[in-house]
Amino acid sequence: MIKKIVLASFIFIMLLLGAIGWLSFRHEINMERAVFWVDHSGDVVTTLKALELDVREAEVALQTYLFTRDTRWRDEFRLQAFDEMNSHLARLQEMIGDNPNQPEGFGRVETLTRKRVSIFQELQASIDDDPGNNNDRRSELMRSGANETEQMVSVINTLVERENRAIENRLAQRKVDGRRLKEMVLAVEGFALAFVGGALILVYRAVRTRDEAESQLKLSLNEKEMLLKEVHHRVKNNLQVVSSLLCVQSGKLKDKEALAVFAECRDRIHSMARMHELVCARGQFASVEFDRHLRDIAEILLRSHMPADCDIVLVARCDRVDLDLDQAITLGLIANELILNALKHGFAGRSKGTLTVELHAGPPCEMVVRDDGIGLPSGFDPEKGIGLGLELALGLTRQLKGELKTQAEAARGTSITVRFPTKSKTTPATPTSL
Amino acid sequence: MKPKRILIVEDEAMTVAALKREVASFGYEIAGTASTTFEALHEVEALQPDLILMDITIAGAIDGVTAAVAIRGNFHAPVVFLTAHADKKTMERAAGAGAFGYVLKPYTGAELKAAIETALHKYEAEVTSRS
Repeated sequence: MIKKIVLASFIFIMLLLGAIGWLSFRHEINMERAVFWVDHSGDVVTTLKALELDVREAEVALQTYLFTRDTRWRDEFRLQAFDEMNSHLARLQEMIGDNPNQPEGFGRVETLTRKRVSIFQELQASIDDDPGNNNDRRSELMRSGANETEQMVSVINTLVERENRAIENRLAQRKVDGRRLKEMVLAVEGFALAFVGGALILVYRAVRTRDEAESQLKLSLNEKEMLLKEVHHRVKNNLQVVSSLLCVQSGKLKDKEALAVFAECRDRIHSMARMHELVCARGQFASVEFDRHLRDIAEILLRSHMPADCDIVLVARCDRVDLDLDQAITLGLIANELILNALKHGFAGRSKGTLTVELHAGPPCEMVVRDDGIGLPSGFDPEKGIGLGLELALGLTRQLKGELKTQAEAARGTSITVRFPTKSKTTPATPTSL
Repeated sequence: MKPKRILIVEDEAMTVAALKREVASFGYEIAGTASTTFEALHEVEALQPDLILMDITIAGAIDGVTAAVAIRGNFHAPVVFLTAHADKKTMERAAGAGAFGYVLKPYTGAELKAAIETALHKYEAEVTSRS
């Protein structure tokens, strides 16, 4: 949820930044275009004014030539009337000749200018032909020329006004565009801020909800752990009551065999109780470190059931095997029976011996209880005519869906292997001895 | 030599019966029994036992660990805890109370005997070194 919100926010912010960039880019392009057109209009206005000035100067030069007959003024007139005016007309043609908004104005200026130049030419020819001042035709040409000049100036002024208005319009449009861009950027920023704020609130709420759920989960887990510990504690207490009951009952007995049966029963109870103890101590209720349990019960049984006048060494070679509680209790009871059998019967008449317990992770998981004692009688069949211990071990092995194998040689000892299917975690075996 | 006297503090009758039998079989004398911590403190003062076998989870205003702290501060007898609690926290509390031993239920006779003997030996050594 949080990842999705952050990703969506990131994509959204990237899109907004892209939009702002695009708007800014467009504004910049428009600005450059506006500056170009403002410059262009300025040039047009300047050229139009220069054309007007050319006409005025040509007039002045021609009139001065008329009165002074100084040919320098005639040259000046020619310069203004032909070179300068043609040059400015060409410049205007270049600038506004193909402008769809100006062709009419430019055409009129050009026509009027050409007409004015032709009147100038006719007047100059009249002056050159007749140097006298009283010439009616010349007076007529001067009036007509002045009239043409006024018309031309009027058209030029109209064009200048139009260009000035265009400049003003473009500047005004740029201002509007600039303001609009600023407003759009502000709107986008505001929207982005609102979105990011909303996203932050969503993230905060999602985090808080997750934290609350985690706290609830932890609380629930703690409660369950406490409950399980309490259950294991009560089981152990109840097993203690059963053990105590057997202890008290056995106090009434005198028969050694009967006492031994009671003691074995208590050993079995202790084997089961030790498993619950391991679970509580480890704090993990799903599985038990069975290798540790096997070492413990082997040591305890050896201490409490060491045969008189016999020194027995315990060797344990155990892989790390984690079993679920059901399998662990069953295998623990099997181990209890096999170790007890070995201690009770395996070393009869011996002064020393070695008891070996092995646990191999497999699969299949394998537990071996081996002694180097007197071995089993010849023709021994574990399925027939056996004691309670081995009978229990066989039954419990079947419960594990496993198999029990006996290997024995007279005077060389007995080895009993229990194999059963399980999932186990392994670490290399480390032999220990007592 | 006079046998050591042991006070049993346990609220489970069947366990008390078994403990009495087993402790007696080890050669000790049962000084008395108590089923609450209040009763236990009273009996310790009245009977002056040589060792107290104390259940941790026991009826009374205070639990066995707190009672052990009170006994250690006011009387001269080692306490050996007897409990089904095997968790680290309980063991640390017990160690902090100055217990001389810790036997987990259900116990074996060998474990109980070893714990009692070790506690008596440690206590005697402590008294000797103090004097």
